[in-house]
Amino acid sequence: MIAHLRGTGSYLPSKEVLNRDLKQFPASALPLIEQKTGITARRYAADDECTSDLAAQAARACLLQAGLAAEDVEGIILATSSPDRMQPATATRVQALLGAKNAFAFDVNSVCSGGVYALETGNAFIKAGLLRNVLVVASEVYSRILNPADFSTCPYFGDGAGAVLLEAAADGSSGIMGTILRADGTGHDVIQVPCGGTMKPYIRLQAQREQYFTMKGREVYEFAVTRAPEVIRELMSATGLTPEGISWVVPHQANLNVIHAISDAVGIPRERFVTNLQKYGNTAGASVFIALDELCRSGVQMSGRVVMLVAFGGGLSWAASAIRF
Amino acid sequence: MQKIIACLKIVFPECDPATITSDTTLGDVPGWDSMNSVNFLLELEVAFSVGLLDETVTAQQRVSDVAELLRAKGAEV
Repeated sequence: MIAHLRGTGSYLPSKEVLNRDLKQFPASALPLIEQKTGITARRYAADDECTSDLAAQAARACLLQAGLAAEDVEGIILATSSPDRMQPATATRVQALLGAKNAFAFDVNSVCSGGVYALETGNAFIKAGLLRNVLVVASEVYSRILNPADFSTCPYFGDGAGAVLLEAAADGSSGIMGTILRADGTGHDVIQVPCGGTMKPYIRLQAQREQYFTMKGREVYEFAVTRAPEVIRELMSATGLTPEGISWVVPHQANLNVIHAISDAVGIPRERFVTNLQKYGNTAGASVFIALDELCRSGVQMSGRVVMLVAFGGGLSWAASAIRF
Repeated sequence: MQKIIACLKIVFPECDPATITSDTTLGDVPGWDSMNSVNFLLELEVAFSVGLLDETVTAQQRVSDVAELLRAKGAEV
């Protein structure tokens, strides 16, 4: 069995926040946002929307495109690092919102690599012959975990969700060709939300900033421009792909300068890297699925083409997956 | 000067306050980058109760330059 992509979907909240709207920061600093990252805007969830709401919207768009009824979904895997609550799995509320009563549901948290990690988890169920289909969703509402006073994180993230429906097929001419998942836990504190878990419960909160997302910018940059090219090369080698055989790379939408560095390192032209971070910012684990959905719906010929997804983020974790459409 | 160093420690937790002097170049503070330089300004604003939203600090400046900027804004350093 091979898992092929029967459908994709995405959802971005309607509230757009431009760089100039971030009035808590010095006006003189705002041009740095676009200079350093390429980001000009991001979307924020409405007050009454949480991660599962965004996920359900993306999932509905995906199921509609695929022509599959919610009750026929056999499994839901949700990648998120900004869950509705610490318990239960956010995926269970997505299941309820969709009415996918026959699907199991659980979460995967690999921060910005989460989408690709969840995709490979779904792929494993299909390849093992355990499921005929699985709905893989990635959804993030970082606007709720960002420190609004932190210029080194707040301007760069946005909210959004993407979804992919994997379906089992006996024919191997299209589908997931290969995936590589990697992690280096020695970097577990490079990207983190320090407070709110068992390591530091809220009762031990010492400063308000500890409840928010933090990252060590320089270390993240060095990690990304090293590990992402490495895993792309490794996956090309494992699948027999060449840079010429890859029609598009869909990278994690962290930073345009990082994406350009990855492009230069692997010898795949920048114009074949799909980007939308300019308008959505970094949507963490959801970014790859949102960009993939936009590519699939852009009207370009997908049949027979190879797309490589590559993601990197907290953990530290990184991953790549090659898909033939 | 100690209040400036305390602000640096808040924004750049990896820096060792004992190694920071008025001659320290900001770019040599561990973790310094242009994004966090904005956070440093915001921290100084709160600590010294002065408006710094139109100011910038760069990697080439020294801690003593920051003290001078604050004094020019009427802060006691």
